[in-house]
Amino acid sequence: MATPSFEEYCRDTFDPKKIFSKPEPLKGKRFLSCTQYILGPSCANYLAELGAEVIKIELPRRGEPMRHTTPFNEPKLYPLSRWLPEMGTGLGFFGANHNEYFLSVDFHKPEGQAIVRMLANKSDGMVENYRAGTFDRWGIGYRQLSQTNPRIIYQWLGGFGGWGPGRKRASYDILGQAQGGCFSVTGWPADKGGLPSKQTIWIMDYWGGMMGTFQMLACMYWRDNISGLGNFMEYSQVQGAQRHLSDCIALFGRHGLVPQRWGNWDTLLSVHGIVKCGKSSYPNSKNPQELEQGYILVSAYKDDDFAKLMKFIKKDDLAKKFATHEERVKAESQYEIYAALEDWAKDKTKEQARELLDKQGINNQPVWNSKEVSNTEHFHMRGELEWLDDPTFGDLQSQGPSFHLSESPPRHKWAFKPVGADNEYILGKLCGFSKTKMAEMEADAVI
Amino acid sequence: MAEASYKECSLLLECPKCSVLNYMDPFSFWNFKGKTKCAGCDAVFAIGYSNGQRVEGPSPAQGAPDKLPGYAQTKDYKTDFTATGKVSPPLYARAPDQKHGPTYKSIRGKLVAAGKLTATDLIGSRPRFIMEGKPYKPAT
Repeated sequence: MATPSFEEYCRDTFDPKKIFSKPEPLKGKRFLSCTQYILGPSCANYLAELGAEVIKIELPRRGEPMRHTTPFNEPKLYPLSRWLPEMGTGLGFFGANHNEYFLSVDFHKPEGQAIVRMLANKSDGMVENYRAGTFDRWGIGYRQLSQTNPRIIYQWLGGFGGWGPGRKRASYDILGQAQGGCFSVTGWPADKGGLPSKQTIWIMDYWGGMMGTFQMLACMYWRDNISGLGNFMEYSQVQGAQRHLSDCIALFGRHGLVPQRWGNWDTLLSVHGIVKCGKSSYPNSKNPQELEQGYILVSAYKDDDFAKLMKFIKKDDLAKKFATHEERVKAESQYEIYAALEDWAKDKTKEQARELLDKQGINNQPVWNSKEVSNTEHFHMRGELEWLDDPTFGDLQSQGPSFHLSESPPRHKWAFKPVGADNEYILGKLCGFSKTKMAEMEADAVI
Repeated sequence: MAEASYKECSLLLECPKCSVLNYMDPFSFWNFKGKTKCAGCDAVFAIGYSNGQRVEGPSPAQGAPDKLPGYAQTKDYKTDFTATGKVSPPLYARAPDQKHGPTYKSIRGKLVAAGKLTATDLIGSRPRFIMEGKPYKPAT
């Protein structure tokens, strides 16, 4: 039998339909997630995608704040809990709480703190992102929990860290991007308005969560293979943001230069930016954004690609004038080059521009919206977008796990659950509480 | 330094008159000094918050409230008394008549629980119609 091609091998090896017949790499590990918003929850989410038993602990009644932080206060998934069926969870919560078990406990109360201690004694680790020192003050921080479970891996994530001048401030993704320096190099140069721009997706939260998971896996290796001991990890969101600044920090340190914003073009390469196309792809749409002109990324920064692109748009003079990288990448050169490209694209949709550039072998990609992403066969075929038959909420389109493993792949079993949906399961299994005991705790608003 | 109980300093205000739990949403009350009103009994209180911590009140006051709680419920989870004028409306990016309504079907026509439910619509924490795989019919 002929050896399959690499493409055939990958298609079979990573087939999304086979995921649930393969083992989970973290099965048997248990983590507590005392988290809110995205930074902490996404860290725990990634562990749960890899098969760990993750128990999300929220305050009773309303749950964590992200359940009530939904885009435009619009679509929600119901019920919020069995006690509040007329309320729902906002879609801001979606995407950072997959596969978890949901327990409600009031951390403020001594009885609630006792539950956290009982669960921590039977867990491999814990993730929390309350303000620095809050859980320590409540007697359920690393210092206290490691007294009875010295193997516990405790991941704290927050804005500024547990020490240092900024430690008392609260942070969000947007603040992390601001203090970390990301906004200063994102947005428009002075002659185009000069506005810095934020990244709309919570990139510093999800990045921080992934870094937290990475650290926890390293700590598990160190504990299980070397030391036998747990670890206390501190992740500062603003530090994570500035970690992205790459050449900007080095440039200032070496030459004292402060990098400027350069919009949708690139300071290192040319052509390597976003070009406006003059025609909408959806001229009859009711959506104002779809009525706008389209945009397309064009990348042709090597000498031969640039010459080919300029020749194609009938600008041979620019090909000669900016024949070298050194000439092309200058600011004044880019103004001339991109103006010529937008003049070429002014009577085209982004799809028409793509078709023409593809024929020339010029690297390009139309700027897609979430509808266009959702309709992309590539993502669905590879399981990176999926229709999840969620046992609680039904038919949900969801992002799949962000990476593939051949032997022990990550997976999504459910999107999330209502507040306190697993109270009986978790408290019965791990704390040995009777139904009567749980009913009493519920009446006292401990759970 | 002795620390105050969360009941004396949190964004959750338990009305000293009627015991209704008023949630002082952080967007409005994180730094606030003024009057608010219990959604349960309409009692007006002077209250002060600094960085999300209650630092003054609640002390009885007169006159119209400056801001209403974001949400309120009784200790047995009843919310039906929080009609217009009792709690603040949510912050909308567009007018309520332009918002999506509830839906019980996804864009590809399958069942999804994206609309309000009642207690009788549930089995435990799960919507009955999702569990049974039948179209949603509101309880009469």
